Amino acid sequence: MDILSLFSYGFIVHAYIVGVCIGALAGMLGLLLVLRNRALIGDGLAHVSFGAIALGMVMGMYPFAAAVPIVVLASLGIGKLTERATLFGDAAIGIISATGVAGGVLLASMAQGFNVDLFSYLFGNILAVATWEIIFAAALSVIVAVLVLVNYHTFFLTTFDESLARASGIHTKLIEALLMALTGIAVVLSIKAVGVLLVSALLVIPAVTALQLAKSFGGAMTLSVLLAISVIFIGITLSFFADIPTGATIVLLSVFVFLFALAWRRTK
Amino acid sequence: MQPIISVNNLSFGYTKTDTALRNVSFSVLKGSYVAIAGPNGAGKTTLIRVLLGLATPYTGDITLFETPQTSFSSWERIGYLPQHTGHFNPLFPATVGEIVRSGLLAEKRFPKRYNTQDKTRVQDALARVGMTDKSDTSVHALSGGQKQRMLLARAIVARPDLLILDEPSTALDQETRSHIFSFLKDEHARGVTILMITHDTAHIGQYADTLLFLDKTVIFSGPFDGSCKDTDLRNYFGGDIAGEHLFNHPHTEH
Repeated sequence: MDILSLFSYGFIVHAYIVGVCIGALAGMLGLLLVLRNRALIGDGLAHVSFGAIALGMVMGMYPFAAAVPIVVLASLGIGKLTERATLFGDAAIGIISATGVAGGVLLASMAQGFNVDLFSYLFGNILAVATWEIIFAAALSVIVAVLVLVNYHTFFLTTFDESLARASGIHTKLIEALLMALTGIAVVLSIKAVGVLLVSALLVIPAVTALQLAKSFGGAMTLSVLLAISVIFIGITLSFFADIPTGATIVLLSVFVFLFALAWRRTK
Repeated sequence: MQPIISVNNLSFGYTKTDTALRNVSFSVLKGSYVAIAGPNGAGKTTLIRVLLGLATPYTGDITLFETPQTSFSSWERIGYLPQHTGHFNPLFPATVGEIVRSGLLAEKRFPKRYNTQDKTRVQDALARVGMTDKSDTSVHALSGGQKQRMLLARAIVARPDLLILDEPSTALDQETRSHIFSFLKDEHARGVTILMITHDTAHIGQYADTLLFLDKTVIFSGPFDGSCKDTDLRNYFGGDIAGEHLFNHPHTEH
């Protein structure tokens, strides 16, 4: 079978479309999070998603529809907890994340019958995407991407130096809350591709790889997006031909590209 | 002459029990060149941060360009050079042009976009600080002095009416210091008001015309020449004449 024949399979085409959406979001937001020392927030929010998906299942809803608002609220909660309780960022992430997982496990034990479904979200399955899920992912991705691009220059300055941004009249708390909320949406969408356990890799690895290679902010953002899309695209293809798990393939491919970029930079 | 900054009875603390600034009152007149001096921990940087809305809440009144600071929105009229350039995230990917261009963001309304003229304005600002052709250079490749000049270019790119600088010459070599002070002198001659924190007290009189001496409260505020005769400042130094060894060479040409 050649690569072009892959496009005759509807489920593969669906996976590519969703992969491009997720890659674009992960690449954009991941770079901002890494540069703000918030790299682990994706991991924390993914764990919250686990609890939120369980709640959606108990309530008989589409799990991701339940997860989006809950995870967005959790992302804002992490920001508030860090600010109000003067906690270090990672500690707030730890508290919210543990609450999400504990809630998910408790719901799974109380409502018998969906344990298998729930635990399938731990590893994701981008090859099993329904048409309406594509619409859901594409619509949210367009909203997130437009909000990031419209606020691109503001994100740049607030990430470079918060004091300079505030002295320029920028409402930095509002921008931080926007970033957290958009990250919450991106995390929920990414779970379909790589699962709860590997979401943070998709946010972090393309971004840190781009940082090895780019010398400008615009270059790093573009590269981060292209890398994220590429590893998802190649990962889907490889996993199909080799009959191996897609999420794990995408993440290991990202790590390989990162190591290559690291080695290349050291030779410079 | 109208004041660009009016501060009346300002007090601020980082905690409820702390007093970083106590009953501070002063004015900065349009076109003046004000040096803020005082010992370590006197609240000089805190004062600037409060003026710029970076440290809140405070008690008292602050007016910027005849507008209460809490409702002030014309931040493009103020160019700000923060203390230290060493706080740069070493991983942050940015070119000199991207950083300088961000100084124009305050004048942009939503959605904040740059236009083709902004590129020329960035080039002009870089040329004025002696960094022509550095626009595409990565900030990682700059020396400490070049970073400081880049941030100075960022502070002046929007052609502000007021420049606020927090120890612009600290940790710089003599050549860069001379360049920066010469540049500020030109800006002042163009009518820009300058408010600058300095530890370089021995040379304040070479450029500033007004002294604000601070030690949590205002010890002296007025024309530089009057500082040597000021009773409060003399008493502060235990009767010693402050100007003789602290503020040499008033108004000597640099």
